[in-house]
Parts: sequence; C-alpha cells; structure tokens
Amino acid sequence: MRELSPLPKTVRDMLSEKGIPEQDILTCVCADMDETGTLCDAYAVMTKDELAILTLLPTLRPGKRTFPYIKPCIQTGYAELDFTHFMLSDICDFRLEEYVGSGKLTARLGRDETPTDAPEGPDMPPRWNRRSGPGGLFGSGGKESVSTVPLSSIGKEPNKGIDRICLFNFTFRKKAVVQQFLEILKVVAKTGELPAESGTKKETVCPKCKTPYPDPHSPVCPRCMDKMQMVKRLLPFFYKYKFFIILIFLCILASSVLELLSPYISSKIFYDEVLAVNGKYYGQIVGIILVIVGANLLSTVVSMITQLINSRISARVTYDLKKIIFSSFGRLSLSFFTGRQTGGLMTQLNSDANTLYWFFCDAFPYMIINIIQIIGVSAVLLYMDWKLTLLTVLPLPLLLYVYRLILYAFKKMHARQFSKSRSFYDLIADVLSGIRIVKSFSKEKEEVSRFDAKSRDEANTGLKLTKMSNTIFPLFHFMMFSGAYIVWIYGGWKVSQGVMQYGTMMLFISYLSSLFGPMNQLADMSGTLTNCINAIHRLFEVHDAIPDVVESKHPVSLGNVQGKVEFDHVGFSYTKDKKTIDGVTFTVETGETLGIVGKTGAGKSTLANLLTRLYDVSEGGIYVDGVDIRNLSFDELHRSIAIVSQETYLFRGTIMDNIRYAKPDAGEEEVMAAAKVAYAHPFIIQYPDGYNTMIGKGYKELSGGERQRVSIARAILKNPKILILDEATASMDTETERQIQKAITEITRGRTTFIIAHRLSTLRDADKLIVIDGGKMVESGTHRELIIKPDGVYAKLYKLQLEALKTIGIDP
Amino acid sequence: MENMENSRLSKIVSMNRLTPENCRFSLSSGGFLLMERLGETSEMMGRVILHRAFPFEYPESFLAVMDTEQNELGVIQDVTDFDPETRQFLRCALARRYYMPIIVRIDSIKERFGFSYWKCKTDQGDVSFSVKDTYRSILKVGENRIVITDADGARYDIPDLIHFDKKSFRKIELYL
Repeated sequence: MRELSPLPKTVRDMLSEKGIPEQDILTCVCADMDETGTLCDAYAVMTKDELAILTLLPTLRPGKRTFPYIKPCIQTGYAELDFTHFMLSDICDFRLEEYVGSGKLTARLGRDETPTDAPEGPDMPPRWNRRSGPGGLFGSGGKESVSTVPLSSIGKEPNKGIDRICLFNFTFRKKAVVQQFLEILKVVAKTGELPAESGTKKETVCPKCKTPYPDPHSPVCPRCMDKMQMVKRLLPFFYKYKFFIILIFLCILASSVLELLSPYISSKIFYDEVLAVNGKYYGQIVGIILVIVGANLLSTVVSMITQLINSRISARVTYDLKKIIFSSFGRLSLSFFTGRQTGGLMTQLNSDANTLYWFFCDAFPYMIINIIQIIGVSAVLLYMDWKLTLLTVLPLPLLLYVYRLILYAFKKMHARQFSKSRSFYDLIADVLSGIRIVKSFSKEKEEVSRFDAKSRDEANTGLKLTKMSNTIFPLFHFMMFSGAYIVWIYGGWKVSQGVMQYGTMMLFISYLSSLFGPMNQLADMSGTLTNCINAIHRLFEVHDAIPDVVESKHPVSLGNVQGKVEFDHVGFSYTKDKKTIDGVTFTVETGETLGIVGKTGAGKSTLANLLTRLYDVSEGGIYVDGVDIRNLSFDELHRSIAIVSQETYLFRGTIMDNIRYAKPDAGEEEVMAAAKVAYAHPFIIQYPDGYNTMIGKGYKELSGGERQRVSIARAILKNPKILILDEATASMDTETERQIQKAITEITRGRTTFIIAHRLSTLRDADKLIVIDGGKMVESGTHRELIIKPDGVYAKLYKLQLEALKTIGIDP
Repeated sequence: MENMENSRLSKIVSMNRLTPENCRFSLSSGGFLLMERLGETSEMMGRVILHRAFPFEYPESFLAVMDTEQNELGVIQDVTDFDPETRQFLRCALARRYYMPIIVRIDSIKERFGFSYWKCKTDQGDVSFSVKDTYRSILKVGENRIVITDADGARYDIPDLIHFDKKSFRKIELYL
C-alpha cells in the first residue's frame, strides 16, 4: 500500500469490517472535511476496482491540564459520520476542483467515452508527465500538427456538468496530497494498477518534530531552529573582526577591573587604613587621593580607547551586513519580492544591520563582562561576610522572575513597533513612487491624512514603548536596590556592636551597587536584546528563503545556442486558485518568428516570464535546443535570451550605462549601432548631453516610447539567439512603430523571436502565430491560415482592428 | 450630475441581471448548482459556479454566475430576489465555494522566523495551521473583522473582534 497519509490501525479495522481488506488497498489519503464543512478525517482508499470514502470524526476526551493554559485533548477513537463507495468502472473524468480555501475531488458518472487526450476544463488538475514525444503542435512529426483546437471545446463538460458528483472534500491544507492521490487514481482507473513511484518525493514534513513545513516550497522548519543556533550562525561573520572584538573585550575588562578596585581603595582602605587611628597608612590623605584620581584617569583613558575602536569598526561591520542582506535579495526569485513591499525591505536592510552591529560589537562584550563581574563580586562578598551576602541576594529570585516577564512584554512591543514603522515606510515609498497619480486625481489631502494616521499610529506605539520602559524600569531598579536596605540595617547594627569595621560596611554597599549595576544593565538590555533577536530572525528569513527558481547544480552546457524553443504541455499559476497557463505546447524552429496574440491577461507575458525563468513552470517543460531550461545555467540561459518587456525599467544613470547594462564591455560604436537599430539614436542625439544624459528620477524623464526604444537597444546590444519582444512597440505612435518595425525585421533575421502584441499588424510577418486565451492555446498557424478561419478568434480580432483603424482613417 | 454619469455607465456596460423571471436554479443529483435560462425557449445552462464580487461586504449580493467554461452568464443582485428554496440552493453553493471557518477561540500562537503557528477552535472543529508573514496575512475587513489566510491558502474568519474571546484577543492583538 502506498500511504499518502498514514492509515491508523483502527481505521484499517473499520474498513475491513466494511468489506475492504487491508491487503486490497492500493493507496489512501486522509482528507479533512465533510460535505457540510465540518473538519474531520475523511479517509479515501482505493482498491483496484473500488474507491471508498470513510468519514470519521475523532472522539476526544480532555486530558490533564498542563502549564501554561492549554488543555490537551486525547483522541479516544472515531465516530463514523459517513461511508460511501464507488466502483471505479462507474465513474470517470476525475477532477480536482479548487475553490476559495477548499476544494473537491469530483468525477462524472458513467463510462469514459471521451478520447483520453481531450482538452480539459479550466479547473482541471495538472497534467503531469504528458510529454508526448517530439513534435507538439508545430512539430515536424506531422501526426500532431492539428493546427487548431476549437475554442468551444475548451473546458467543455460533457452534458454541461449535470452528472458530476463529488467524491470528497478537503481544505487547502491537504491539497498537495489530494493532488497526488488524483494522479494515482487516474492511472488505477485506467489500468487497475499502481503507477510507478515518481522517484523524487517531496518532503513536506519536518523530520525532527513531524509538523508540516509552514511553507510547502521551502523545507525549513522554524520550530526546530533555536536561537543559540542563530547566534552561532552569525559568529563566523564576526570572525573577520576577531582582533577588534578581542581588543574591545580587553578594554572593557580592564575598565571593569578598575571599577572593582576603586571602591576597595575609596571605602575599605580610605576608612579603615587611612582615616582610622591605628590604620596602616594613617594620615596619608594626599597619597590616597592621588591613587584614586590615578585610577579614575586610567579608566577614562581605557573607555576612550574602547570608543575609538568601536567607531572605527562599526561602519565596516554594518556595511558588510547590509551587503549580505542585499546579496540575498539578488539571489531570491521574483516571487519573493512580489509578496513584499519595497519600503519594508528597505527598513529591514537598514535598521537590522544597525541592530546586529550593536549587538555584536557593543552589547555582546558588555554582556559577558557583566556576567563575569557578577560572579566575581559575589565571590568577594561571600568571602567577606557570607551571612550578609545571602541576606542581600534574597530578593534575587523574585527579581529574575520579574525580569523574565519584562523580557516577554518587550519582545512583543518591539515586534509591534517594527511592523508599524514598516507599514509607515511602505506608505511613504508607495505614495512617492505614485506621486503622479496622486496629483492627477488631486488626492493630496487624502494621502496626507493617510500619512497622518499611519504616522500617528507609529508615534503612538513608540510612545507606548517609551512609557512602558519609563515606568517599568525605575520600578525594577527600586526593587533591585532593596538589598541595600538590608545591608544598612544588618551592617549598621554590626558596626555599632563593634563586630564589623565601618569601611567593610561601606565596601559592602559599594560592591552591592557594582553587583546590581551589571544586573541592571542586563535588564536594560532585555528590550534591545529581544529587538536584536527579532532582527536576526528577519535576517535569516531572507537569508534562508529558498528561491523558487533554483539553478541546476550540474548545468548542461549547450556551447553554441541555436535557438530552437519548445513548450511542452506547459502549466503555471501565480496564485493557488487560478491557473495562468494551462497545457501550452508549441515549437519554434531556429530563426523563426512566433507571434503571440491574445487578450489582456490571457497569459502572453507569463509565457515570456517562464522562458526567461523569472518563474518556473509547474507542469510540463520548456526546451531550448532540446534541453530543459531548468538544466541550463542561469548564465547560459540569460546570455542567449533577451527580453524587451512592456514595463521597461531603466536604472538611474546615463543612457549609455543603461544600454550597456547587458554588455558592460561594449564599445561606443557598438552602443550607437544598437541605438540606431532600435531607433533610439535620433532622440538621444538631440539631448545636449547625448548618450551621457542622466535619466531616472530627479533627472531627465524619458517618454514611454523613448524608454522602450532604449530598452530595445539594450536587448539588441546583447545580441541574443532568442529575442522576446513583449509589447515592445505598444507605447509608440504608428509612425515610430513603423520605423521600428523595419528595424525589428532587420534584427530578427537569424534569431528566434517571440513577438507579443496587441496590434496584429505588427505580427503579419511572423512565421507562425499562436492565440492564447485564458491561459490555453486556442489557435495556431500562419497569418494566412488563421485569417480564413470562419469562426477563428484571430480572424475576428483582425477584422475588429482593421475596422477600428479604418474609422480613424488609417489603412494598415 | 453624478447620477447621470452613473446611468450612462450602466447603459454602456450591461450587467445582465438574473432574476426569478429569467432564470431558475436547481440542484443536480451530485448536489451541484444548476441553472436554467427561462424565456421563450428555456435553455439548460448546466452546472454553474457563483462568484462573490464583494466577498466581505456583500456576501449575498452581486454574485456573478459562471458556467463551467468560465463564461459569465449574469449577475444575481441579491439572494433574496429569489424564493426561499432557491435561496437555500444559492447559499449552499456559496458556502461550498467560500470555505472559511470562523475562529471562536485561539489556543496558542507561536512565532518562529516570520512564520506563526496557530492552534484554534473554529465553528467547524479544532484546527492548527501555519501562517507566513503574519502581519500581511491578516486582512482587516472594516473595523472589527479580520480574515486570516494560512500558508496553504486556506482562510479563517474572525467576524467580530469586539465580542471575540478576551484571552484569544490578547494573543492576536499584537498583529493587528
């Protein structure tokens, strides 16, 4: 049996009672919801000719109450809610239907009459392993060169879905396993046997604590990563600065030794040896004062040196930390950034680096010194008078408890403040980058009030934090010094009895403050320390985030890329609920031009994103010269593909730098040639600074068409084998577009080119055209072939655009 | 003036409103919602799926009715336009598509590395789930309602924070 979810013994017994013996079960899965939406355990088991669903509600009894508050429940057994079973011969056309937050596995009643390769519905499960050999729609094989698939049959349910039934329900937490179950189910229904194990099984559960990974795509279990581990992981980074850190450490050590010595001199020796009549140095007041001044001077010098070293390395360490975080950003896939806002990342980069620096170069050495000091002072105190010492440390356990409480409260407050200030900076970044829109809709007032609300919110949280630390810490200090009162009472009585010297008591009191001083500092540190641990959290969150798109470890080298591109049953979705690309298959031979047509949001640009591996396909594969692009190195792939997209982004810098971005070593002449081809040269040369014109925010703002021409030049300069023009001419006027069209014909020669366009006139010269609708390829062929199709989507679109152009007096 | 503009807009974009006069809903043997278009010649449209246009503000109004091929057949203005039996069908279909257990109590929230682990009691039973990027996964709807989306894409609802269990509120307060 292949258990997709574990099948408990009790359930096995229940099933065999119902006539499904354990040895007949091929596979099983545990879904988690019944028809009414109640969360329960629904076991779906499959034999070679039967599918049974046993819905059970675990019966629980409350367990022993444990600290802190949760009353655990102990499962005692199961109550049966429902049992249904189907003969596999009675049902067919299995589908996984995804809704919002939950889904269903459904089937159609009756025998499967549709051909196996019939197009599937819009909410269809993925089609794995369906690479049907060479060919595909444009393939040279000829067998599959069915040029078009009629639109009307896409997603068609025979009988309009009336005879569809639900097999079982599940919430999205079970989606992955149910999908696996479905794949097996399809094979078993057809062949009656289990399919071969699909080799690499994705680990979804942490091997240590058995809880599912929070992010199904990255096998990192945050639960099993402890804090010390994190600090340890950061240590190698600071290893570089070990010399400085040791120096700082020594300085602090020296100053704390001096600090310990000075009470001994100013209390014990001063009172008992200098001022007392029978003292060793009786009367040498000047001498002792000089010693005290000397000691103080020395400690001042030491702390000055510490400060100097600190300021010297702080800049370097923060710089290095920011570099680490920034390079993590570069490594991550596009999807990491689409899920977060830029402003948030900026605050993260800045403040976290500072916090970490503070921790390792300031707080960390101090913490160690403080701990040493506490141990040293208590040893001295115990040696001097152990009874008195024990009396004074009595309040310690209570203090420690309070300290822990404070630590917890501050951790929460800091996390909250961070999130507030993050959302505040997000807003600023948002409004500033969209200032043109804000102004054009004259929404300045609204934005100001939005800003006001956020800013007030942030200030309030900050205020609360300050208030809290201003009330809690003085109280805490007061409690800490309660030990001193005990010394006054007990020591005062002893001195009056003549059992203790006056100097000893004074020494006791000053040492007590040097015992509580470090403890106090440790307590003060609590807030900032937790802040720092949060910062390390975030640092590793970015650092450990596994890019969705991973470069192959052993990339295949193509050497000289020819430029043949195949899409084979490619499927992809940005979000969980909607498939953006579904089963797209085509082949583009070396040097051919493929036009991609479709409505807005049909998935045209996504095809380009997949080919450049900004995202990875979730089904099927993309092949360049017959090699899966996932097996190519990023370098080789990106060297051979250039893209000019509808959203052009030019970096702040000169036009020259921008064009040269892809090929930094290109010469001036080369750059100019590329600009000429892209028709950018004429306008660039108009600028007083020519190619050295600075562009970007705060400098020269280029128009949409100009920007696009610059980015075309950038792509041309790269001289790629595969060129993608994604609405590259969309924001140009017809005249410019025509001119650039000539240029494009020129540059596409000998290159595999993908042209994505709304304006069909742009595509007339393409060797092949495909029409994408709702993520599926609905038509394909040459312009001539498609234009004569009576009900074709392309023909319809073309006619519409033709008429539109005629009405404005242009004959395309 | 604004009204005039609006009426012009709605003229340009026809909403194709579905009413008891022009359509009828029923349930298939498999329990799925079916729609039949009424008129001079009635036509069975087959299985339909309801999409809420404003899932949070108007859960029972502005429902787009789509067929299995994702074509919009029309819009239901409000569930109450229909007779009680049909209402029942529609509500049932909505509940199926938009599955969102209501959290009645939060037992614990533990945070590690930007993920948080939740143990909750919902109206549909006990559940534990993990949430990625907690602050951003909690959607504030209006003043007192929040919707939490977990790492798998499942959703959980807290419809009224004011009357929410006090102890649980304290656990979640931090993320609001």
